[in-house]
Amino acid sequence: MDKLRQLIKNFLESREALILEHTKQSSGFRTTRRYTGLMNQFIGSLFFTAGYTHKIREARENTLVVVALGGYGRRELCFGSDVDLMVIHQGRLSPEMNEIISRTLYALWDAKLDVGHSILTTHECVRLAMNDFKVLTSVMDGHFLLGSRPFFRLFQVAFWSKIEREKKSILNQFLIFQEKRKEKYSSEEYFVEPDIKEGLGGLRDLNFMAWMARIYFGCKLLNLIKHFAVFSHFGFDNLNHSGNYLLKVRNHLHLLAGRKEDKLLLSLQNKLSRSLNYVDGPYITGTDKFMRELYLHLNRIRYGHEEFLAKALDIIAPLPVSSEPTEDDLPQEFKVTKGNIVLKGGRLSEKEPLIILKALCEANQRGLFLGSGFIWEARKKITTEGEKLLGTPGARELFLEIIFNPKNPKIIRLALEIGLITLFIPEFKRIRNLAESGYYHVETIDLHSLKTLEIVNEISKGTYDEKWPLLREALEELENAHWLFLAALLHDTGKGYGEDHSRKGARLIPKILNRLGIEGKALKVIPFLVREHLLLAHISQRRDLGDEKTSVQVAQIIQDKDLLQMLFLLTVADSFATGPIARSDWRIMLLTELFVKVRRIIAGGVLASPDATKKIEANKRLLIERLETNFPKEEIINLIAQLSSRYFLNTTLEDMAEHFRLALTMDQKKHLWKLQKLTNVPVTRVIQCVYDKPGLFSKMVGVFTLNNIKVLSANIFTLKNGLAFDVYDVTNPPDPYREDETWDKIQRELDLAMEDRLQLGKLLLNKKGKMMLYSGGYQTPIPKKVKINNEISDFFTFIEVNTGVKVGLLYELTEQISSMGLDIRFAKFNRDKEKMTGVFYVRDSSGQKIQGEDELEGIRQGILSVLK
Amino acid sequence: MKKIEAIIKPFKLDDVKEAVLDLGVTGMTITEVKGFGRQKGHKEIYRGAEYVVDFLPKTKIEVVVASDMVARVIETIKKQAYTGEIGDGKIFVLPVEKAIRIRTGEEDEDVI
Repeated sequence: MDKLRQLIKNFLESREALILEHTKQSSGFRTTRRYTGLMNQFIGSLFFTAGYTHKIREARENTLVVVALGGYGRRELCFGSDVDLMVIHQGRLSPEMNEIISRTLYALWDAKLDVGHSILTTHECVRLAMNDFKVLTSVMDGHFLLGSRPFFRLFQVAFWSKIEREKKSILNQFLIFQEKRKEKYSSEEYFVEPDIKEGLGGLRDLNFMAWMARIYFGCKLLNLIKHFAVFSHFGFDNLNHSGNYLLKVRNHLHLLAGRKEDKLLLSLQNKLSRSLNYVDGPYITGTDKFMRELYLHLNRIRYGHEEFLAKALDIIAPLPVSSEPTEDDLPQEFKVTKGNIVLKGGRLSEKEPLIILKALCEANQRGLFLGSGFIWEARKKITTEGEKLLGTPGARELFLEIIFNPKNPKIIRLALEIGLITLFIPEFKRIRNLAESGYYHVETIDLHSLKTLEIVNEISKGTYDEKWPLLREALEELENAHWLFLAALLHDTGKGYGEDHSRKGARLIPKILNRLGIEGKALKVIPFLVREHLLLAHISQRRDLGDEKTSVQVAQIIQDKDLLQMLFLLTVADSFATGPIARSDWRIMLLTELFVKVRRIIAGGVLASPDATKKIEANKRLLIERLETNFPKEEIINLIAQLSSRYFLNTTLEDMAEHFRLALTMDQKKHLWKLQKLTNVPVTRVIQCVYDKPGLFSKMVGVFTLNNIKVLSANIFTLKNGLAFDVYDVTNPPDPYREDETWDKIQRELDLAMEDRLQLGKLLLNKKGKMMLYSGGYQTPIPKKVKINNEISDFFTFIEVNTGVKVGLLYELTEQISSMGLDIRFAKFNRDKEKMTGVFYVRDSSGQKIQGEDELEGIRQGILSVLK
Repeated sequence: MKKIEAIIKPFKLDDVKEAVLDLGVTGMTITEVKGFGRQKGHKEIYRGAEYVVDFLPKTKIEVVVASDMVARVIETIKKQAYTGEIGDGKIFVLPVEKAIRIRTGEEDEDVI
């Protein structure tokens, strides 16, 4: 027993020594190979010490073998990886042999290794592998540890011949497995914290290629697949290099986390970048540098794997030939083989570089791809003859033709990968593989830009017609839609400079356009679109859209209908391309609302507000018409007289009619509401009539929060008779099966809160305390900002608050604001996983804007005190 | 250390198990259980009278993890066991005072 202890001690010491060496100078593969070697030795000596020495003969005769599986089998064992072992045997295992195996396993456990083990016969193992994909692949990667070699060979023959027979069904399993992975890992959560093993572009993609090469091409090593013509020029060296980098990161990650952790958690990213020796630069932090390099490798593997799969499937399971398009109208220098455009004769290196663009153009038009050899040579040619290509007449035009007509997203991505986009637009280099931190984006900035371009194209194809028909209509009305495509590609080029990216981008654009030979009005339009590409999103999420002034101010900035349509489409495409939070239906709805309002103002021709008095009178008249069948006209007119004119300007006729109905049937009740579920978005509109009270709004917010409902926006109008008409847009109750119950409960609690009989502050604090207990994870520091402005609205002081998300914060904020004697009349909130933006339109108790520097500063400090 | 108990729909067990193990949790205990929650099992009106309370088959998962892992384990179970239908189950978190591995006598964090 002591001998085993000594072995464990020795192993742990050698492991420490290896770790030390690894942290000093590390290569992924070298370390994992050495660690695998160490593990082999350790396990071997454990077996022998446990009594295997006396049983060698039995093992040989009884035909027994110990095999290392999975990552260990591949010799890619990382410091925190599982050590998977399998004992394959024939006939019965003697009790002594069983004892030896268990003693070895105990020792491995005692060495704190995560051990997986199984003891099977050949037959059982093969059957299990055919039923379980994970077993299959991990046995495929197995390597011999000890026992009878001839028996291991026999086992392998049986195993691989079974695979050979089941090739077809295995292929299906492969594809399903990859599809599931893709589904799981393409969320924004895995973009911020990528999983370097299972995530997109992770080590698993490399394993997957190796498995396919082994089964379908008979290659024991992935590199050997180069002997097949379609893969002759595939960039395996680069992929290998990236795999090496990922393994290196994975080893560091395991050591830092102290466990088998493959997800690059936010809390570890800083530490990891430091332990990998990334240093802060002037524009970019060490962590960002690290993430950028990581994404270079992840993206390379991800798309390399995609290309590999497409090519491999062409051979393993080719599509019926009839789907091949006719080549009649293809330029004579090309031909199509298996969905790829290739040269008809000669080598690319001997031709003019322009032919690369021609091929890309054709492939883009026809939905085809390029041949592997062609791509390989094209990449080389662009590096060596890039300047020549830029100077070739017709080159810019062909390049723009692809951008203006991005039919085939794969071709656009290829253009980026082989360096064509950065050749024509060197400014693009800065955003290559640049990852933004925060739970917002799901792709690096370069790919996000391509995605935006793709979405503009999808809009033109009618992909979004069902839900947002306005998009295609707006696009089709454009005179110069191709400017929009360029703006989509270039809108984020200003990122990575450490300053406001919209402004920086707009300054970069003229130079880019000049180089592309674009002249005239576009030189004004495109920089404008880039500079203002966040305008509509910001305004729609942070202003009262009911206030005419909001739309008028936007109209004054944009001034032109065509420009507005382009900006709207760019904003929507950008949101769609960003990620699930940015493209939430609620946000798109707000954007659309703002767009429609601004368009009406611009179309009216006058940039001043239309005659408000007329609009108010018209609204009052319509309201009376609608209600007078059910209510005495006199009462309606009485009620109208109680309301400010802002109400009649800011509220839809439907909501007004609802308010009036509620007010006229209220009797002795303290408040009455009507709930409306909005279509297309998971939002309920609460139209409420209530007796006004100081702090009414914060009480509403408090009760909603208590019931896990989020307030998105609120509009409050006070009547001279002490009533208040409110419209709240809130998220639907979390449990769709108990909506009615939830609303009843909210109503009861609200009654109590209005009478100050509900201790909201305390209840929310309690709730917050409970949430804090398990939020334990890392939180990105969010800068806290408070902006106050008296220009944005004619009647109110405007307050904008940016901060991190916290339970009950909204209640504290609104409480603080009303405790400072301010009256909140409009509010809108926007949250993602970490950040919150809230805007408030407020006035003082006498109904005036807040004037005076000192007063405004006092308010600012008051609000900041809550944020701390 | 905390113990996390989750009652989930039996057919979700594989998904939950795999995802939780992916987090680096090393072991768990599974029990087949029967029970009902707010919906009282099958809600059936019998001849216009009271409904029949029925125990539904569920699976109980128990894992003990270090406190800093609790949030991630909960998130993962929530995500994997979710269908949006009634009866998706519940998660409970309990404090663990002590843990001991019987074979070696190791204690607390060394055990999990």
